[in-house]
Formats: sequence, structure tokens, C-alpha cells
Amino acid sequence: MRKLRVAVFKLTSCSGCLNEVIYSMMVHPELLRYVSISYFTELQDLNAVEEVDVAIVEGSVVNSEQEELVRLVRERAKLVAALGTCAVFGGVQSLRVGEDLRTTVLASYPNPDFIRVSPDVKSLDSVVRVDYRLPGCPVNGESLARLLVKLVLGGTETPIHESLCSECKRKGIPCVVVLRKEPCLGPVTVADCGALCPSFGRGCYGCHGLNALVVDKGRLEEFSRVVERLGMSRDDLRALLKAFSHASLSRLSSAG
Amino acid sequence: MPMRYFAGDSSALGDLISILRGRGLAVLSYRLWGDLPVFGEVESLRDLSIGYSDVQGPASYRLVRDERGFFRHSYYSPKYALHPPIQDIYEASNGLRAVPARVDTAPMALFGIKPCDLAAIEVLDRVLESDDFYRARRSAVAYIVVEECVEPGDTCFCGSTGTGPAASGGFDVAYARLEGRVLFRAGSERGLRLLEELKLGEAPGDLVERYDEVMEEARRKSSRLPPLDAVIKALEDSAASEGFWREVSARCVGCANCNMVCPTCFCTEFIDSADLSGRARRQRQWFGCLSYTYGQVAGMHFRPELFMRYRHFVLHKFVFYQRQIGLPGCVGCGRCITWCPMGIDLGEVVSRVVSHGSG
Repeated sequence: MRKLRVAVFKLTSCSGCLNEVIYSMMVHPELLRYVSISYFTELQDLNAVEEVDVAIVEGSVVNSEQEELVRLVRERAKLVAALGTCAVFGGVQSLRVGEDLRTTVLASYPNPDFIRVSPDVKSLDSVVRVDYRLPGCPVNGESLARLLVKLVLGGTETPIHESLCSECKRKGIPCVVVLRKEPCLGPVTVADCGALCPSFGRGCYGCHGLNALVVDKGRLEEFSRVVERLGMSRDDLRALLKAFSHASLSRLSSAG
Repeated sequence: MPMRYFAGDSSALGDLISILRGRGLAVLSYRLWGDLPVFGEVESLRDLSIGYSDVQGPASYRLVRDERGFFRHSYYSPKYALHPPIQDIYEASNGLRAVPARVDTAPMALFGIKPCDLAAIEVLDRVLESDDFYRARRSAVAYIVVEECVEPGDTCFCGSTGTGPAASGGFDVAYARLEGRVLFRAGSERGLRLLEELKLGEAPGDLVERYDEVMEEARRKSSRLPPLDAVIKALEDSAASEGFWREVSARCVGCANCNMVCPTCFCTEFIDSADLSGRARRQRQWFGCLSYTYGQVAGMHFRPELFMRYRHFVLHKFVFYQRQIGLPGCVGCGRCITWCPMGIDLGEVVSRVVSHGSG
């Protein structure tokens, strides 16, 4: 079997999802016999932006250099996978969007001269065409392993779009909202994290992103009222949605 | 032959569990696991959720310690046992020969399930008639013991759907707990033999009279919907009213909790997985029609907007099942109301459809 040529790129992120890439290969070491990695700065010293079968891009796009890089990556990759919530939706750094850029930068960096960022935080698919989206903060390493195995075998992955609640109920996890009366973003959040937070009795905070194919502005407002009654303030909800669903929030339709 | 009623106390329920276990059956019932109302194996009377009440409302479920309480059900239903949430279907290894997966067919008894659960099993029996995997699990059910609902919950409407609060058929034994006494009746020859093994006395006339009164009151309490014929007619007429369905579904967020907890929702999606040693597996898992991918096919989507999927859910329950299997798909258990995080009340929606039709 010909090896699957893979490249892993990192843009603006905490790199946690890169660790998940490494973990998934530790859990599935057999994968390493079927992939060759031409670019992965966290893993190897010699890296080159070559033609590959699949480019995995982690992180959000925050400046023109990154835009150029992902355009080049797109040209040289047959398939592009956005890895993690930063790449799919913008990620936690989206919280600065709309704030004064200089103040934000000064609050974080003692020597801000090297920081070159634009005011917006972009998801990967707002810059280039994306074939696979694997959200999560961090991404579920199993989802990535599943995708890579299928690509190695010459297949593809068909995404199933459903809310986290389906996953909870299939696993028999007690409902945080109905039984515990605690705020949980599960009903409006895309599934496939394995229902990690509710399985530990805490509410979902939406890190897999807003279920934007279903939830429009009106429904989101109705949902906001529900979680508000359960004790989550509007500001907290807004912050969570901005942190984990920035790109889809700006695309929400007003009816659907 | 007139119905024979037998009387005992709670210990007779424990004896019944022992008899069933003595026959090598796993006895499955509603039980508490810590403070959680689950559905699983019970070993004795102590495991049953007797002494607790489930207080249900829209988006609300509370377990209350109450010696005289009545426990109905939870987000679990017998569906978890008969049509499991995730099930292996095929396995294939090198050579690509797909072999049907093995189904766990260890014999079981369903115990203390409610009349609505029983009605739901009848629906599943008809819908999944030719499904080998369902049939294998269903055939493993050796006995069904039903607890009749002496006290319907606030979200229940089985009186309206004609599926409760008393059991009408398809069971082996039915019992009702009435003020410290338990009234038993058999629904089958095998059930009658079970009751004979319990060595119970015939129920006194006043207990049977009390039972009739309690069930009549329960039927009244659980009949808050308009008549079923009117519901079906109004739903058929409403199908083309796009504006109405948009409005009715405006608070729905498409989370599909209703589908998951519904004891008759049977839809599944296939999940294929493979590993690099040449093994592949096909599983199926519950999949809700409120979810976006439902109705999506190559190149198009049958119900791209949520209002269409919500309308489909309601129409399917009351109209399409009726046409397909001759029974309504809604058994009035109210789970979709309790476990909807938005607190959308199906009973209320259906009533609105009827008043919309006549308005």
C-alpha cells in the first residue's frame, strides 16, 4: 500500500490539538506504517511544504502571512482538514474580536513589537476550501485517527450532523439540564466529543461549536433564555459562543 | 371466562422476581443506580424503585423519596434493551465477506414496565418485524410483567392515546399497587402459571372495585389531548400550513432528545469503521429525525429546514405510523416533554394543531 502523504500545519492556537495528533498516533501506532509526514514542526526538524494527500491545519488565521501559507498548503494538498475549534471556528482567541487590538496585545505581551495580527480571527474555511472539519477544544484524537485510517484505506468520512444530546442519550448519560438543572450547551452543540463533560456530570460548554445548520438567531435567543433560567448569564453564554463558535455566529441566519 | 384477580402484598413482587430469576432469566426493570433512574437488571424487591416518585414536568425530572409514591419511568425505556442505542451489525475481515454480528440473546424478563412501554413494544414489534437484530433481542424476552399506572404523571397522556393507564394485552402478568396491596392478573396462560406458583389468594371484591375506580380516575387524568381521530384529521389538514409549523417549532433547537427518549422512535444511522489490519465493522446507532443529517441524501436534502423535520416528527407519530402499521406511534408516555431541554409540550402542540384546524 502506498503511504498516505500527510502534512500538519499550525497557525494561531495553543497547540493542544497538535498534542492530540501525537496522542492519536500513540494510540494507533500502526498508522505510522501507512503515513509519511513531510511537515510537522512539533514532531520533526526537517520540514518542507510539499505536495501531499492530506494537509491537517490546526489554528485560526490571524494575519496575512498565515493566509499566504494556507493558500500555498491548499494548492499542494489534495485534501485539507481543519483540526480543532480554532481552525474550524476561530477558537478562544476570537474573544478579542471587536476589542481594541492594541490594548489586547499590550495586556498579553510585555514586548508587543513582534505581534502581527489583524483585527479579525478567521476560520480556515473563510480563507480556503476545506474538505474535513474536526472541531473540539481540543479535538477528539479518535476522530482524527478514524479519518486517517479511512483515507489510508482509500475511503472517506461522511460527517453526521447532530447535537450532543443524541450522544448523551445513546450512552445513557443523565441529562445535566433536566435532572441537575444546570446550564449545558449540549442541545445547540455539535456532537462527536464522546459527551465528555456531561459524562462527568458537568454541562457542555460548547467547544465543538454551535450547531449552526439547525440553530438560527431566533432559536438561539430561545435557548439563551433557557440557560439563563438555569443560572448562566447572557455575558457568559455570549463569551462561550464567541470563544468556540465565532465563525458560525457571524453566519447565523435570522430564520430557518 | 371472567378475569381472575389475585391479591398479595409487595413481597409477592419479590417472589415473582425470584421465580423468574430461578428460570435463568435476567430480570430487567426500572431501578435506581445511586440517585439515577435507570433500566437494568434487578435481583430482588429492594432493587425496584418502590418508595420513590418521579415528578415530571416540561424539561424537569425529580426523584422524590415517598413511601406512598409511584414511580413511572425515566429517559430509559425498554427500547434500550430491545433495540440498543449502538449495535454491531456486520463484521468483515480480509476478503470482504461480511458476517452478521452476534446478538446477545441471553433470556430476559421485562418487569414493572408500564402500559405505555408495553404499547411501545407492540409498535416496535410491527415496525421492526423483519429486522433480524430486533427479532433476536425480542425473542429473548421470555416474560413481560407490567405495572399498571395507578397515578399518571403530569406529562402523561396515555388515556388519550389509548395505551394506558391499564395494560390491555401482550403481557404475561399485570399488577397494580393499591394502598399497600398488590392486585395481579394474568394476560397469558404462562402468566397464569406464574401467578399460580406465587400461591396468591383470589382478590376480594372490594379490592377489585377499588382497582376499577383508581384506573378510571387515572384514565381521566391522563386524557388531556383532544380525541385521537380529531388529532389525526387536524394533523393531516395542517401538513401544508408552512407558517403554522414554522411558528409551532420556533422554540425547537433540533437537539433530538425527543427522538432518543421516545420508546417508539426506531431510526438508526449506519456507522462504518475499519482498522488497518483488514477488519471492518458496521454498527447502527439511534439517529433522530430532528437532527440535520436526517433526510440528507447524496445531492439533496428532503427536509433541510428544522420546521420540516419537526412537522415530520409529529406527523409520523400520529399519522404515518397509523397508516404503516395500524397503530399510532405515540404511546402518550410524555418522555419527549420531560426530556426536551426547551420544555416543548407535544400534548400542547397537538392541541394547537386541532384548534388551528377548527379556527
